[in-house]
Amino acid sequence: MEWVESISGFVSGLNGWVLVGILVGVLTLIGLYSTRLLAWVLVVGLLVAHQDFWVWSGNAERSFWQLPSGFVYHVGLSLVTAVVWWIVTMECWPDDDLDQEPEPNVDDTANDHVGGAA
Amino acid sequence: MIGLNDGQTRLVILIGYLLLLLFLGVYASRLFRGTKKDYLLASHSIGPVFLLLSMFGTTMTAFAIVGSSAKSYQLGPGVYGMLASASGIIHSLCFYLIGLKLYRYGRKYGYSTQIEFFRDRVESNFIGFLMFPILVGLIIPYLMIGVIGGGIVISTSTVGAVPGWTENGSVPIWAGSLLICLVVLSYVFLGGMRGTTWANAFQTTVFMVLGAYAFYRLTGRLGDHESFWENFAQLNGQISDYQANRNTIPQSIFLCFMFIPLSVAMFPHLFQHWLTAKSSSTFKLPIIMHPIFIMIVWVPCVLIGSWAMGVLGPDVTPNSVMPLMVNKFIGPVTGGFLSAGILAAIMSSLDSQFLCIGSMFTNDVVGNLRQKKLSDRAEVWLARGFVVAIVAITYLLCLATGFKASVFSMAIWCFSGFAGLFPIVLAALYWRRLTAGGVLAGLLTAVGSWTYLFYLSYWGATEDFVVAIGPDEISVMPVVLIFVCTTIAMVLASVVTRRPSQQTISKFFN
Repeated sequence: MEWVESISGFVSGLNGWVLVGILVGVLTLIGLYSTRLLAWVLVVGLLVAHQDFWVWSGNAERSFWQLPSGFVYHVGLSLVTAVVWWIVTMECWPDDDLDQEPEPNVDDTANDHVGGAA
Repeated sequence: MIGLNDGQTRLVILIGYLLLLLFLGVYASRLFRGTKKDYLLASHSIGPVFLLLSMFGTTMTAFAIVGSSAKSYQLGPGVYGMLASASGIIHSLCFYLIGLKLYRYGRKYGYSTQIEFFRDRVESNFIGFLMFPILVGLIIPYLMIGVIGGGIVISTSTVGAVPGWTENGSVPIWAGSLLICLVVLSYVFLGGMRGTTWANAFQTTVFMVLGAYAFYRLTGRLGDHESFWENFAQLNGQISDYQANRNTIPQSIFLCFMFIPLSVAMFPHLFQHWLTAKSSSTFKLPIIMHPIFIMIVWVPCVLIGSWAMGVLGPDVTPNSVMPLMVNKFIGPVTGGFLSAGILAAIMSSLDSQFLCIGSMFTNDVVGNLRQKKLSDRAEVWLARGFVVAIVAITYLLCLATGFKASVFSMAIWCFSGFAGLFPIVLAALYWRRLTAGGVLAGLLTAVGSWTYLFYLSYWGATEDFVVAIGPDEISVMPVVLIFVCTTIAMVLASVVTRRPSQQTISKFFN
């Protein structure tokens, strides 16, 4: 049937984008529920994304400046990693009460000098 | 330079750079407060930028510069994903999950070394005595990587500089390595952790800036066009499809490499750097920027290594690829500065490792054996003495191997050992039920499995050693097996042995 074929053609054409859309939708929902949870979901996502088995074998495709596409993917992943860690440090940083405390339990014999460069 | 040949020009630049480092060490020693805490931890005074630079410089070794280009020469640019992007994710994860927590305990309870933490956490002095030789034993190959890598860089950069000394008139590797040892030893000896942190920050900046500049120059020299980007595309286009498609790296091995960066969680020298931080929020910048810094260093190294196969041909010793590319295609002055940059990367790890071994010896061995506490002055001198001894031992071991070990392979064995200990530090921080028995079982299993696998690889002689497991004979790297065995042994032994006292549990978990 023609209409089935045209719909399946349309869906398979959009497949990658649909996947990205679903992913963004799910992440937005998680973010609305808890940004802390979102941060950790993104870290796990990085670990999964690193294993890019879907573009692996026999793929010698070139992208920007003739760079191998697998290489470009991983350079991009490094940039995304920095963004994810920025989110983690913003949303999941522990209470910093220690920074205000004086230093305890450290035997700093300040008067017992060694004498510079010795 | 006038009157000097290319090799001599590069040698003069390298010597100038090493003298500059010595000056930095002497200057840092003038700010030395004379206490053990200042010598070993720079009195917790390091801010975010210096912490980022020093931590990054410490984790980037000869492995990152010489080893990465050597491996990409053999396997192609897939090496970037295998190690660099993986390290960006895992290193920051370790800094956040392990480093930050250990820093807070370190500040709260006054620890200088990770062994002190483990002693307290599992209420066992014996664990400390057992950990010391294990950590030192694992770190010595790491030191050897730096010493050998430094010697190779000096030797390859100085061809024709001293006619008659060697066949090609270069400084021999043994002399280059000796020079590196002496310079690092001098500024660690004089400046302690402050000198080391300053030198690391300075050297990290040097190798990143010079690396970027040399990459730009090299691309111009190797390509046929006027524009940098056209040359860049031309050189990338010359990478063979065989290298570009990553068929050179099996998927199971690619996955196994995710375990290697876990080693940073157990590096004793990194623990000491964490403790130099001014506050816990100082960690934010290093956690965010570390993946970017890795990218800045690894992308040029991996590409230069990949281009080298087409440019130099297949018969070059992999370890020499980077220095050869630099010296063959870049003028002597820029080449000399870049070689100094490569040395900077190498030395910025060696210094921290030497210092941390001295700290562990003073704190965890002598400090625990003596009934009466030594004065700060005596402890600082003891640490310095032990640093000298370790430098000597490392150099002698390099002599014994004839400076011929593969930087990449040796690094992987060393990292595998540290990564095998990761379950122990993770459990110590997040699992209340961990016991001294569990740590003991974990340590012994890690050492036992590491030694057995090392033996199976003919003591490291088999490059890229893997074990085939399962009916499909899937290739697995030793690090995964060590990791799994350690985890199982640690958990089983912890479950059947007496749990730590309530007081200790409260100290670390409430």
